[in-house]
Amino acid sequence: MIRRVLVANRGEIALRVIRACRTAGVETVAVYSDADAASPHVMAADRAVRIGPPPAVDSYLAIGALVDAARATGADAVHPGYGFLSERAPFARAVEDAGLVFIGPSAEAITRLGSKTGARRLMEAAGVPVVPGATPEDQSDESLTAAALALGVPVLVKPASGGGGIGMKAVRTHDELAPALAQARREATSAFGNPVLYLERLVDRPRHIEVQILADAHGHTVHLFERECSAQRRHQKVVEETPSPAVTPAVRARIGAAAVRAAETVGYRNAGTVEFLLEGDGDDARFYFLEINTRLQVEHPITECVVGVDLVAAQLAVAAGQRLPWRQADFTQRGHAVECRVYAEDPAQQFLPQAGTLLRYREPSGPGIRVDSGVVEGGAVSVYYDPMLAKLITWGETRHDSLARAREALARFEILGVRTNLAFLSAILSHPAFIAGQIDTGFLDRELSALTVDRGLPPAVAAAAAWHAARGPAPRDAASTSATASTGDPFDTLRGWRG
Amino acid sequence: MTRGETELTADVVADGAVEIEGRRYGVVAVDPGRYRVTDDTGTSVLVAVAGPPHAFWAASAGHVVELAVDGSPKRAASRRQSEGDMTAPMPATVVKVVVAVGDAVAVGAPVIVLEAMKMELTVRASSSGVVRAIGCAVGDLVQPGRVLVEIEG
Repeated sequence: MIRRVLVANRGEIALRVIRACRTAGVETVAVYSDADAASPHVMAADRAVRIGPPPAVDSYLAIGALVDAARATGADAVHPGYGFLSERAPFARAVEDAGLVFIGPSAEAITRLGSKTGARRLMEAAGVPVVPGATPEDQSDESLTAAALALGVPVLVKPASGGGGIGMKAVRTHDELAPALAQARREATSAFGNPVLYLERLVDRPRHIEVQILADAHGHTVHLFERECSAQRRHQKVVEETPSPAVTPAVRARIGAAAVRAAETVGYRNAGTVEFLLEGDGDDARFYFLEINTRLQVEHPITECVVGVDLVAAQLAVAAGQRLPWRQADFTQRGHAVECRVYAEDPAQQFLPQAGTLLRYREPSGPGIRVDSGVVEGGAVSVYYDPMLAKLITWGETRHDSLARAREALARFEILGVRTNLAFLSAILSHPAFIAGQIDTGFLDRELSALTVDRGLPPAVAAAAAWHAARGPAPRDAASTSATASTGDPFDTLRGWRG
Repeated sequence: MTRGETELTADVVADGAVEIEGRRYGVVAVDPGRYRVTDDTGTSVLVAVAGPPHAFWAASAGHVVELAVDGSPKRAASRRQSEGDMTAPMPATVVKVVVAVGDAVAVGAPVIVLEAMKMELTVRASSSGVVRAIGCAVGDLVQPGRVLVEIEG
């Protein structure tokens, strides 16, 4: 029985977990850095504990401070969310050692799956297909170069530990290898504290398909079908959907069974995601195991919309030792869902993260529209953390309907004060290749210039801005606008720079 | 890709009427910060506006525009930065200085490698010229706006 959960995260996922706990009748404890003292997740929880100064390494990554906060507030379980410490075995172990429940897999499973090379070996042995690759024992440039030549270019250089595309480099010609090795090693060391690299054959124009799994502590594992995450920019997911337009019923059955086998091989417990690359078309498409993400995914809501399961509620139940109430045959996919990640970033400047005050922030709502966010109007977007503001998730009876809903909702999403990728997201959803469902993981990078066209300053926008600037902040009702606005006005020259 | 800059002269001619390039637009406040704009063909759109004075933004149908009223400091600042001074775009750590004082660089050439949010970011020359000064060293934590490299055209 879990009575009080400490949520070791911030932003939208902290709010998501807090709401699921409240639904389940479980009390919540939020944690915050000095940058987040007035953040929505702090306001939403039953209790809140300051854990340190703004830099994540001193707050949301401070294992000691988090475990102390859990003990001090009488929490009996810890939910890690995603990112931060969610896939760090030492954190899971510290929580377990404090006599608390870690809402996720065991520290041992995280360790075994945290090493990509170790996970590959386990999966190969279990008969789950993997992409040809190698981790030379000798990590010198000469040895890595020889291994790369043996696999043949194009080849991917990746940190042996870590994820999220950090430190991952695609090498297409022999000359690119040496600088890629140096850069990947630096990033692997600074992000994961481990410079070991591994090399993998680059699958041509692959799709990124992942399978949601749930496993209880009684040896029962099910999958909740696939998510298509091929719309990635430099290995960061931007738009995700389910079902995948590329996965046929036959492939779905095979990839789902492979995901369950992968989870069972490591004695996995709680929610997880098995990532695959998909190559080829139709029933003949081949898939290769990439890794298991030992946490709740950012894009979990699309699965919730289509399968009708609250994944965080399921995580709480499994962590409390309950049996999963479903057999595999109980699940079906109803309709289609798509998620757009709304970031404070500037597509015109290589997607640089943006900081500032949200002068205006209004979310769309309506049938089939779900927005998971962790920000409010008037709040600050800081430079310290991930720049994701919100996730817009739309559902429809068909893929056509959910995409149409997403386009309409994006157009109604009002975010002023920081630059965002809203127009970029709309451009993706209107791109013929995306609409046709014919994309691969290179789609966004190849089509970047077409997706980031500057549309200038529309006259209607200039007209509203000129009127607004001339009259000052709008009064409460429209009637008094015309009453107070009486005199003529000087010229205003407006410049807009933002596509 | 470079940021486009468009300039429009909007003339507030009467109550809720704005003229731009000879065409008239009717503007009605729907609620605070949101306007319904109708053009001379009768077509309407909703526009959200926030600011000024500290910042000035407007958006319609997902298309967001950051604005400057003529002569504001915002515009002057953005001009200055684009003329050969390479500045830090965000708080970051310098991991590599690619060029040295006196080097000739072509537009687009990498000059500095920064690291922020666990990712490397290459700062590239915004114009061709000769490196006049370097304002950072490997390991420096730099703040937004700090001049990293000065290039003389």
